[in-house]
Amino acid sequence: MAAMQRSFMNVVSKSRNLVGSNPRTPSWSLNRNRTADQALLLATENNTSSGVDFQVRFASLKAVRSRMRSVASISKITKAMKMVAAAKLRGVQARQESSKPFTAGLKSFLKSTFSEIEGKETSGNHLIVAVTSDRGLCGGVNSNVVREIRKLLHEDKQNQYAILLCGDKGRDGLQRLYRNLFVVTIKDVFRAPVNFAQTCVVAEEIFKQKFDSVAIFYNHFKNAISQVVTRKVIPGLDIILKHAETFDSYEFESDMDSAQTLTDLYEFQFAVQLFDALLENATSEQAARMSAMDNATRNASEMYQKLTLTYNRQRQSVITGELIEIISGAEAL
Amino acid sequence: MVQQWRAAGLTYLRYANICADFVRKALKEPKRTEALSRTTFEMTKSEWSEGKVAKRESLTQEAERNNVSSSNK
Repeated sequence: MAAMQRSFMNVVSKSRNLVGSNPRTPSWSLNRNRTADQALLLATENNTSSGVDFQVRFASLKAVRSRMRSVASISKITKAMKMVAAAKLRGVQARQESSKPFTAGLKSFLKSTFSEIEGKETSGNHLIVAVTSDRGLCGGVNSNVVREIRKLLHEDKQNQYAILLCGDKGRDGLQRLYRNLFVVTIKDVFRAPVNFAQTCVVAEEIFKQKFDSVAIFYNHFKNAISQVVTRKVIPGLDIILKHAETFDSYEFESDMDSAQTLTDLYEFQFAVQLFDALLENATSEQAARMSAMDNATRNASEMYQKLTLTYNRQRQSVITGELIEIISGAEAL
Repeated sequence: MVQQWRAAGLTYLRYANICADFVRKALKEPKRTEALSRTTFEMTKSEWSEGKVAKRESLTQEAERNNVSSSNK
């Protein structure tokens, strides 16, 4: 099983590194039958080598066959994963699209009311919210987010940053260099379909931190083949409250306080924006997984074809060798 | 005027969620479980300090705390 898993990873990640490309460290090395594997190596390295005797040739055939079997079963697994991802994508995409009007409405309201803050970079404490998936095997979705954050942290040395992680996969990429910036990590966010109650809990975790602005990094779902890493900057409540006089042009009921209403609205708007980011990322994750698994399946079948060729060639050379032995034996008589 | 939930120290999001939960619970049966099932989650939060996990905590919300329909039958 361990060997199977290893070769599974090979198909997924390095499947282009095919038979005989590097005899010393083959990416497809099989643990199960080491001697047979080495024999296979010898045979593929130099087919005409006269040093390879009959038994080794036979063993190599066996190794190729077991290799073919494992590649075939791996391609079945990746194909199944692709189907599952496609089914999940349909569900999460529907959710994402039905949530769109909510985000758009609030966004346009805040844009018109607080136009002077919109898009302006503030200095001070920043909180980075990295939205990544909980599970791997989904293409470059997570590493793209990690790369953007690393780039930002590398270039901007003046401001203070803190990192809050949603999802488990961003941790691996960031903790080596920036583990000191971590404040909170939340995992299993995407285990079940994302819902708003959950988003509110995450948002409250964010409000517990001190910050001047929040940057949410997530994958924007353009379509099933392309997802773009997006940085959504939301200014902190203090900055919004400084510009609160624009909000006073609205009419309030007598028992309402404009500053409090603005605070509530800010919280709600923040949660909605976060919800949008989480949904977008969940959609992107499934889409990326679908295409990654599709590629893996294609690579596996390509690999299988090449192995079949090797297998047949080996088999033929075994037969030829046997025939030569028989004929020359008969001639010697 | 300060609202009572604000005086009690709730954030608006918490307050809104509690209200939403009451509305969901007021629904009739087939819709009720359906609506309540949309609010479940099971997350794990880790707080970090100086590059190490300082505290782990699970943030969960169960689906249904009281099966009214089955007990009333």
